[in-house]
Amino acid sequence: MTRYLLAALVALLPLVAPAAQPLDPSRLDSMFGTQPNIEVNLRGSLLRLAAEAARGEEPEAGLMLDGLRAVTVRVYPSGDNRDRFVSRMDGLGDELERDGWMTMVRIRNLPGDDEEEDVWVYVLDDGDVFDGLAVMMLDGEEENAIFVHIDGSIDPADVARLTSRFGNVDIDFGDDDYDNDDYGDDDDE
Amino acid sequence: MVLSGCYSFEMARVSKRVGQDIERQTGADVGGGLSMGLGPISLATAQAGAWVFAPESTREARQIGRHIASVEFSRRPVRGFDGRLVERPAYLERYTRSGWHPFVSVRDSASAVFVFLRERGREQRITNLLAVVVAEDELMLTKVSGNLSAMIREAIAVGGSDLLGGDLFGDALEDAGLIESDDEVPLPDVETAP
Repeated sequence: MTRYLLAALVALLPLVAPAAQPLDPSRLDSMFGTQPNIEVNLRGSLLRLAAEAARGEEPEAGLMLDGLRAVTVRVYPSGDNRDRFVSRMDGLGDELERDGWMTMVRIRNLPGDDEEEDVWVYVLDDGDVFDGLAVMMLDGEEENAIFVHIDGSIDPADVARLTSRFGNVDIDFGDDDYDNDDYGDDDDE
Repeated sequence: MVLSGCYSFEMARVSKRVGQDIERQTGADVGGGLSMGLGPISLATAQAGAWVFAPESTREARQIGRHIASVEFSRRPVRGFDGRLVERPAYLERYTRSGWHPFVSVRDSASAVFVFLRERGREQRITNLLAVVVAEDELMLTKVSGNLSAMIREAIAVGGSDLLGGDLFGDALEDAGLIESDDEVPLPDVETAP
């Protein structure tokens, strides 16, 4: 009897434990009330082609792209509606946390700061790797709201490289974690 | 269209409807234009001509172009448009309903680019591509069919990504991260606290 009870409990476990939810980027247009200035949807064969292309010259970059299922980029014009965008992106961040995502980085722009940037970075934790990455950035200077969602298996060391490549958002975790020399880039940060 | 270059009814219809959408969205004036299609024989003839008259300078283009089965295009003059006001033309929704998906769209004050593609088969090979470009006072639609996965692979391999640019893609492939840009683009820097 105990054995059946345990088996039933094990079978029910996935239903009880809240599974991390993937992100649906199609909701963003309605959330921000406008169409994006830049929209990129990379998946399937195009991602495989990108991985193949990278593999020749940069084997590490090829490996990085191999594990990805989809890349979605949206850039919305924020104009002078900064507060409205911050509020909506905060709301989206809360929603991601409720869905099982973990906050990796949150940078709040405060009045008087030189940099006019708000940044949110969320990851789906999956042991030694991430199973998803969402980056949001409000760039006050360019008046853009940038949203990057990368679905797939991501090595934590590749986060900066991926957001730089797909969203033009350069996240500097320090030289130990993100060394451009690893990828043949000679520029110093 | 299989045999030779001829009028493309599909592109004429699509560009007319897309032009109407743009007029409605931006108040621009879209004129009448030219719509053509080139089939396999026309393309092979063009390839042969290029090989005869400029074998060296057209080598990469010919190498990439051999994967293309047909090209249809339409061009219309556009006056007084602001690319930021150009939304994805509603008429193109019929493409997304029949298996195409939006790959890249980029809008700024001077231009608007929408690229759709369709994948088919078990290997999800890219077989069709539609690019809608509004720039430099022109609305340009290009539909390419063939083994486009092989075409893109070859273009990347021979370093001929420029051949995929221009009127067809603009900087879309680089914007998408598919091809890494050679240019040093100034990036917004974000430093995280240690």
